[in-house]
Amino acid sequence: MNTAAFLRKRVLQTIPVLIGIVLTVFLVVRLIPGDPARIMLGMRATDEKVAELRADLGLDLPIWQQFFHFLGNILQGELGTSLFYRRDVAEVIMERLPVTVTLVVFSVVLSVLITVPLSMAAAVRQGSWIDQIVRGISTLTLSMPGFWLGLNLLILFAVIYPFFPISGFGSGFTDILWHLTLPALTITLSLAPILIRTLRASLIEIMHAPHVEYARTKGLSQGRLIRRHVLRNGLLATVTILGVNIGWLMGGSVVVETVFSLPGIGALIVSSISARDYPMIQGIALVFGLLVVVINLLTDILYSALDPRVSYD
Amino acid sequence: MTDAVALPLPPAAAQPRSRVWRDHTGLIIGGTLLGLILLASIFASYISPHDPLQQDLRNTLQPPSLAHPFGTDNFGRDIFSRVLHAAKLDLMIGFLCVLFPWMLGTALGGIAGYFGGLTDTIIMRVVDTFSAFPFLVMVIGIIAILGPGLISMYIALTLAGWSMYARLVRAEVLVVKKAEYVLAARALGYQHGRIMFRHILPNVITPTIIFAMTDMVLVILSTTSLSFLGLGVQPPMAEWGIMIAEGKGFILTAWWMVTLPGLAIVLVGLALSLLGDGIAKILRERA
Amino acid sequence: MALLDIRHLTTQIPTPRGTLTVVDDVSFTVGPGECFGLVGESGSGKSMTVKSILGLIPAPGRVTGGEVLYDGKDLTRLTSKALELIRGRAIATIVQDASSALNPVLRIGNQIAESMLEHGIVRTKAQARARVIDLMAKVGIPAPETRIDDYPHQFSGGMCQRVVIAAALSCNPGLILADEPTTALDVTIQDQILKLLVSLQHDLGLGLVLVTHDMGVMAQTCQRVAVMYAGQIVETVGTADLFRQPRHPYTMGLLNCVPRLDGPAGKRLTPIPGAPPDLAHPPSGCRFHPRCPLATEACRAGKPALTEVAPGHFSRCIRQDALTATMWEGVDA
Repeated sequence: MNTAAFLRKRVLQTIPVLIGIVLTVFLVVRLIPGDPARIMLGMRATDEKVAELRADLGLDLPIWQQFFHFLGNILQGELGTSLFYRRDVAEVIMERLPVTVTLVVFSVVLSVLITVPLSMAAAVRQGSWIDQIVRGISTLTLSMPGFWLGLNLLILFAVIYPFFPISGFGSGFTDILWHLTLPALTITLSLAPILIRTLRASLIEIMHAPHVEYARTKGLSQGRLIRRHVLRNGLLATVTILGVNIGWLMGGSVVVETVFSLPGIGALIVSSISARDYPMIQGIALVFGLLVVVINLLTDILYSALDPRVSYD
Repeated sequence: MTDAVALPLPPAAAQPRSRVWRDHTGLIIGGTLLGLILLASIFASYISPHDPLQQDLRNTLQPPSLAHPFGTDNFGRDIFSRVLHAAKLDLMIGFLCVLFPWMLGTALGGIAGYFGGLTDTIIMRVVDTFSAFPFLVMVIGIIAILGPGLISMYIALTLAGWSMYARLVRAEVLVVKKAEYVLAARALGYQHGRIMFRHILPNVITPTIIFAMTDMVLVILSTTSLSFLGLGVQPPMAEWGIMIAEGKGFILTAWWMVTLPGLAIVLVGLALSLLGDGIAKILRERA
Repeated sequence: MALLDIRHLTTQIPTPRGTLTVVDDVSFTVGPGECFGLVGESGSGKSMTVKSILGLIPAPGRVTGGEVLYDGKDLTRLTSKALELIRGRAIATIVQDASSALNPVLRIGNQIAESMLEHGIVRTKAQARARVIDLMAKVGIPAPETRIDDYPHQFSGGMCQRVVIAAALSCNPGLILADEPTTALDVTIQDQILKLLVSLQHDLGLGLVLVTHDMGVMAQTCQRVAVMYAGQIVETVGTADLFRQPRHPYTMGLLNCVPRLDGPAGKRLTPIPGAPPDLAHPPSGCRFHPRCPLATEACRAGKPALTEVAPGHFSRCIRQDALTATMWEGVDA
């Protein structure tokens, strides 16, 4: 099977998952005690408006018809109206989505740049002082709440030594990077302990694998050995580990956006929960679900591109 | 030629004191630290230099000093005293939000493992569903449904956390179920309940205790994060996350409102991690 | 002059239980074009001996005594860097499980060319590619021009072993160390690979050290063989003489374990009773005495040395005169 067919098949496989997510969000929202329409419009809405919304949402129809109604709306990009902003949910989300996506991408890049070399150093010199330091700092950072870490970074690098901006997203490529450095660093440092621990263990396992032992008998220098036979194989492990921990990345963005006042959907969901803005919460849940599916898809594709053992069917 | 054994055997001496310290450094430090923190929180009212609720509007935003070891906040309240009192709440939440998932998970996991068959299948499907979502995502989701608040947080943390315990306990029960003393008990006609409680449970508890210690770190971090975001414990209760959130608005002038309460969180987390690792090490060596 | 001359090699591994002497005073020589076999049970020290030659004992073990002379140079005195120049180039290695030994994410062409490029045998990628195709043809891999870009998982076990052999030959080594090269293969493939090894060795005049626990394999390929037990060599002799007139109880026991086509049908196999000793606390005197039906007080007390009991035939047994063809019959497992 060639690449195009493989991609097509893989994308098709995500459809049942997407439907599952929509179904879950649909059901969960209806789990909230009380009349959904009244919840959506708030306590002060008139009975007329509530009835109108009920008809609009088709709340008097049988449940399965409601679901298709819901699904239809979503496919048209119609996610409802925000109680708080009094605007289209889809519109608000679209405005703020790029911020979060940029933050997450930046964090992933930073994570790879920091954790891979550290894990390698710790794995290659297992038990040495480098290893001890890396693991020690990892244990320490593991006990630090992300929001506290972020605030301290802010204090240190934006207040005491005002090198970075305190808040906001910025505009223009370099300006945005400058604004996102501390936030991305916070997420990376919170995630680093878990990543380093898993990657280091994988690398150590690889270093004792039969193929490394055999390659050594060929007289390859230590450097060549590590580069060709450990690093390449370790890359696979890195992709897998990052993919598995993507949930933490997204969770991290919620906290970080709040700390650094970034106008992304992470901060949006917090304010929406506090404000009981159910249409918005529902919309964000759907978008988050979609993001996770897309990220998993990309991870799978990347993995199969890297590992020749994964056949295309 | 001779059979040469060049290297001498290591001496099998008795364990001197220094050996115990060296082997179990983490455990000792962690245990002591946790003990101190627990004592401090229990006797918070006695050892606090000031009343945590008392405002002193002439002394707002004071940096740390002898009178106020952690400084004062924007209402002039002594931060150190507040941190001590908040310890009680945070530690209690941490404990309960591990206890409830532990109880729920152990019960369901034990039942699933012991009875097997359809019961097992049903329970494990439920476990799988709950495990599919990342922890924080699920917690936030449940709070989204129930609305922010202390009770919502308890429910959310319990529902998000029990599945891990269920899996762990079920796996252990499956192994222990086949042990001779269990077969003997069944042959003697003991009731299921008695077998489960007196014979199986004591033997499967240990791994769950170790897991619970790491879990508690996660729970305390989650609690403080949720409270920081305004989704968990609500002001005016004294809680570390809330204190840091209050301090966020003043980082330009009073960094101690943010940094110092957070240190308390880090210390608790460290103590629990060290303790958990130390206990795990002992149990591994004994096995 | 001998290609490989091992003298009183001793390798030890410190463990919490005690120090394991995995290779104890091992000596043998291999000449150019000669195939030398190391035979014994699992744990007898044959693999460790071979690993010691190239300094590849896993830490914390190390060579603690003796010399390994290759072409006059003592390999045990060389630094890691210097050893890297010898590995893969002057002395090549063939491993047991070729499918696991090949890196799954690299193409096999690259893996065959690796040592050539590392040691500067070829300079350009094009040169390497040409030589790899050549080598693949020589070891009998069909359609080398296409298969050179394949990955290991696309090859069968026997083909993987051919790849490993090709890699071993790539730098024109003088000596090949083969550690159980056919153990993981089907019997028919085993035969093919052995024949390939023997013919290559013959054509190229290489020395070959073949480690195996299979007497049949050894009989098919080796001119001389050393039998190892508990880290020591107990008998060294030409292959034909080993079968014709073994001079150590352990060797006889091993031979008895092999079923014979010309023996009476329904005859039970005679295993050697007991188990190999703990290398941290080996038995006193002759290591084999606890399991030997001929053991005497002298066997337990003394320190039997490897002595030449017939021209070119060395044995460590002091009770050779008592060896009979039926000594293992009737011994209870």
